[in-house]
Amino acid sequence: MRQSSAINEYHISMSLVSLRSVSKTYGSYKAVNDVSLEISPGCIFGLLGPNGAGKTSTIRMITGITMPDTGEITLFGEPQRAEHQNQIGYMPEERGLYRKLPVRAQLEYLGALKGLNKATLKKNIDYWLDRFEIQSWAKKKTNELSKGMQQKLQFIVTILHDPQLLVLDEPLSGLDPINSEIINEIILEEKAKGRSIMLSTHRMEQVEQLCDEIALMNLGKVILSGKLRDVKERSGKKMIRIVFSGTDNLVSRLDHFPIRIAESHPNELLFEMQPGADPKAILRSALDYVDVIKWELVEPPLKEIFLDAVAKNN
Amino acid sequence: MLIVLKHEFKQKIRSKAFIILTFIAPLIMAGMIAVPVLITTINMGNEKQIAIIDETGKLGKYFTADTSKRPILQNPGGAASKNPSFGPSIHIAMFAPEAITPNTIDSLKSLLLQKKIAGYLLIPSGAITDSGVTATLRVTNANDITVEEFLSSHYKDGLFSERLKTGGIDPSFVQHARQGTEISMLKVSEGKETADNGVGFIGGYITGMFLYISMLLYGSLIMQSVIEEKNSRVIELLSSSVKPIDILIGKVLGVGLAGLLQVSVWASMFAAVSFFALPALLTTLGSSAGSIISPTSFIYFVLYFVFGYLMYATLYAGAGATVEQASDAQQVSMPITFLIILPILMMTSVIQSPSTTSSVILSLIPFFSPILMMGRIFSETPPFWQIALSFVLMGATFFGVLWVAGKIYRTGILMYGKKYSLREIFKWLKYS
Repeated sequence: MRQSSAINEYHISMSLVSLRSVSKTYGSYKAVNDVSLEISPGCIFGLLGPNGAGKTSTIRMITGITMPDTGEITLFGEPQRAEHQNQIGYMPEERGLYRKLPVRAQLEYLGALKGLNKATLKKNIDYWLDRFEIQSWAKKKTNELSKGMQQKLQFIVTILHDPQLLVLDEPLSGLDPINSEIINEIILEEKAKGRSIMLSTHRMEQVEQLCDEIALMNLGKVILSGKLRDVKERSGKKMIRIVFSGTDNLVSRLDHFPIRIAESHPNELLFEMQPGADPKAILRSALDYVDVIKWELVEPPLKEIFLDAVAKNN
Repeated sequence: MLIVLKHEFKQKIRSKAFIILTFIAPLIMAGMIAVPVLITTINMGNEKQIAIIDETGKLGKYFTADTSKRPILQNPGGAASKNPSFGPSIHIAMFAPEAITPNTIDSLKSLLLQKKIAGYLLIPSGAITDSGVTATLRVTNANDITVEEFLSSHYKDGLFSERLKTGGIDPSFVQHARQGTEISMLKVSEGKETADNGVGFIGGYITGMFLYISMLLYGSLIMQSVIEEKNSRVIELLSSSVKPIDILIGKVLGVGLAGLLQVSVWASMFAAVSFFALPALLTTLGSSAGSIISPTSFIYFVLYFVFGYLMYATLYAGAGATVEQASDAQQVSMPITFLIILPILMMTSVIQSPSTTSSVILSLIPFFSPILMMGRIFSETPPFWQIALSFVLMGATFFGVLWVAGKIYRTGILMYGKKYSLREIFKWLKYS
């Protein structure tokens, strides 16, 4: 890649993507309000937030589709330029492909727009069609493909030009578990190659599984950000998971303790310790009613932190 | 931008609709000319029997004055036939006064009802002397004007000559006196004089309509393609690779080149037709092919097509970006379509009086120039500075339109979910 040497130089010290006090207003609606965030090279970054939090508006500015009203965006260590677009692979949440264009023609056009020459284009298209096993569909029109197949095609469009930065908005929506796994695999491969991936998703398990860093947006602002581990630690939440056997309704037996039930399953309970809660007393009480198989102090699930932070912010 | 241009061009020229339109449309047009000719040719073989009962005994010879080419089966009183230049051949059975029997009319009537004859003309004996007496043609099909035309023109000539004779005037003298009375009209333009005969008017009208249709056609093509990209959301992907203004320009130029290709195919077909067929047709109109399609007016035509297309296509693209569904396209494109229709409405008066102040001003309004200035060029070549000025104004307008449409496009392509009012769209112009 043309810029790889330049990228390697700031690999150690600099962020791949950096937003400083970025705002974007549509009419009177402040979609993005004074957002700052950093994405390190070779890292998977999760951009989280409820619908309407300003994630897509933020992504559109990073991908150069729109310009920030105020603030500054730095990409690959330089102020954002149009040429950076060739180094970014973007998968929009609302998938977009030419319905009537055959698969290969589609890839050829969209790849050429990213600056790929004919030979590289052909090589890359063949590689990815093989990888997703849709080589035999290359001549079919896009609207003849199944939804899952179109999703794969959309992903190929995103990664075809071997970008330094992948921006994936809900990459798994519409995919079955097998293909979801393939996508996750490729994301990790790209990370291993030193590429950065920005992931916007509502699937917390995907974030937990993949992301190194996260930022949580709400109402146009970043309300939480940092390394996933740090975010969890900083949350200060003490969560306990208890696995048990027995038919007793454990939740009702424990409800006089200062705890908050986060998840309740037939033989499993996840709860948060509130101030003043005594784990020993709770365990003793539980043993009175059920056989406890497992009792562990766990990291708070991201979902808990997410819901908590959004509730506080609202 | 070049990639977008290439893609749009390729997509357009590969589409079935484009190929069909390019090659079928001229065929349809040729067909529209050829079919009537063909039908009259078929009618040539069609023979019609007409009987004339000439009670004056003097007018018969006027119908038979032309050399008879075909023998007639029923020929009681010296008959003749005549072939009009087009249409069926008409055979005439002439009943001079001595051949008329009391039941002639009855038998002719029954022949007419049996469709053995196409009609019979009764010329009363007082026709020459008494102007109150008229001849009557009885037919079963009153719509067949070829028979009526043929008979009445000969009857008129005959009656006129006979009436002159009764007044002691030599008809050949009158005929001589009538000759050479037409005024011949010459269109004077710089350096040459040409016989026009209204061909300029027709030329102006045809090119006007052609420009109108093509600007409308390619404009809505662009608009459809913009809406399609927005509707399929592929535009978000495109604008993450290319600047929206480059997409817009690439699209307009790509479709424009395809349009230019189509128009040149049509033009060369037209040129071929005019080279082989038109001279013959125009000779009958009394004009020369050169006066319709001079190289200069052809170049102007192409230039006005290009400039008109650029202005309107860009407008349509901007309008397309404000809607999501193809079904909403009509609504937003209406004001633009109106701009194209207006000059068509003014065209007749501008072509008829091309030099009036109002015509000059109207033809200089950039959105009207392609149609109106082209019309003026055909009817009376305007001063060169006016033509040049119209191009300068159109060029400036194109860049103005591009600026506005570019802004609307850039914002519009990312706006989903509702219809936008004009006021909101105006706000988009201010977005950075």
